[in-house]
Amino acid sequence: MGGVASGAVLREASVASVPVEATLGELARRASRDDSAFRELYDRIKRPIYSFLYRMVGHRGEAEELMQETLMKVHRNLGRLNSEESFLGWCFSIARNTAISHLRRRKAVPEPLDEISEPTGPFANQAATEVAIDLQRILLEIPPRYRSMFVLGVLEQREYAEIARITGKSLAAVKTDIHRAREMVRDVWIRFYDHGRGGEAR
Amino acid sequence: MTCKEARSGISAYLDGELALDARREFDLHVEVCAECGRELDSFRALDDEFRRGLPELEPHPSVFARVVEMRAHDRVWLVRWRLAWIVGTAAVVFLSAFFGMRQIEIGRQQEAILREIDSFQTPRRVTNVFALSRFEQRNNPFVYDKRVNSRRNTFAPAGPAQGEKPVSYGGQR
Repeated sequence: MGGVASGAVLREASVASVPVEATLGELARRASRDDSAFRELYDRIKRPIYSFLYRMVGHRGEAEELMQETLMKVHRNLGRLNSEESFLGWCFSIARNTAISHLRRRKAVPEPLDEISEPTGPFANQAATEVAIDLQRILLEIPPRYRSMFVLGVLEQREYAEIARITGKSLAAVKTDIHRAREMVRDVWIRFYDHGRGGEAR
Repeated sequence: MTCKEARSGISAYLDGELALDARREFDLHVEVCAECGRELDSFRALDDEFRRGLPELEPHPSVFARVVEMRAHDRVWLVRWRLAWIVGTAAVVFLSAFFGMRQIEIGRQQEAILREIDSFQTPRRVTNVFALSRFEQRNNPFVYDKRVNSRRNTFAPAGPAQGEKPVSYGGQR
């Protein structure tokens, strides 16, 4: 992904992917009984949902546990899915609630920053991994509520109307929260790089 | 557009959520206001940095394997719950039918007793023993007493209450 240009491309892709969402809805209807449909559904949603969860908690093991929890909730509530609703948006909403309640439970015992473990793929180089770890640390500095807004609005580039459905907020509140989240992230980002990398952001 | 309005609209502008008119106004403002332009550039750089630096991630394959396992486990429990629900419903229906029929039968017996009492030509003392089967005496004497007493005072205890006239039993309209 690269910058504004890629952002525009992504947004176009999401507009063009309306039939894919419809197919996701069909898959979701079949998935409660059909294993192959469930598998296909999982393949379609795993990357955005897992990325969202990882960005929220910053720890691979926890993100995987939350992913399982989210998938089980999705599986158990497939029957309640409103057909007009975007399936991916519905999954994001479940993932967000799961992550926020997990973080609320975990609040008493904060994870040390050393626990952050940015996954490395076969093509990931050391520098990119270090940057990713730094950015993840910055994300973890802001409150979960704004973090989820930042991840959905900036990283996942979901539309505001969809974020409003996901979070159950008004469009105006979403607009304000995303802007506030950007400001918070920028402040931490500046502080982080001004004071030198690694832990001083706190 | 004022600087304050422009600043609050930067995110919506970057996310393509501004209406066409507002977008034009924003573009015009940023062209003339260097400070707002710098603000926009800094947010744009932030977006670029995060989107480039934090790509989408792939969960470990074991996640799906565990979900499949949990799903199978869930299904077993679902079958058990359904079975329990069916058995429970059947039990409730059976018991309701049983006790309902019993109540109807008791009602019939009561009516028969009252009809019999009504048919007496002369006043006669009707005792509890006469009126009720052993089963009824044992199981439901209170209902009988109440019901019959309310109509004829048939099952009144040994004598009339203090200050009350002697009761005549049955046959009097």
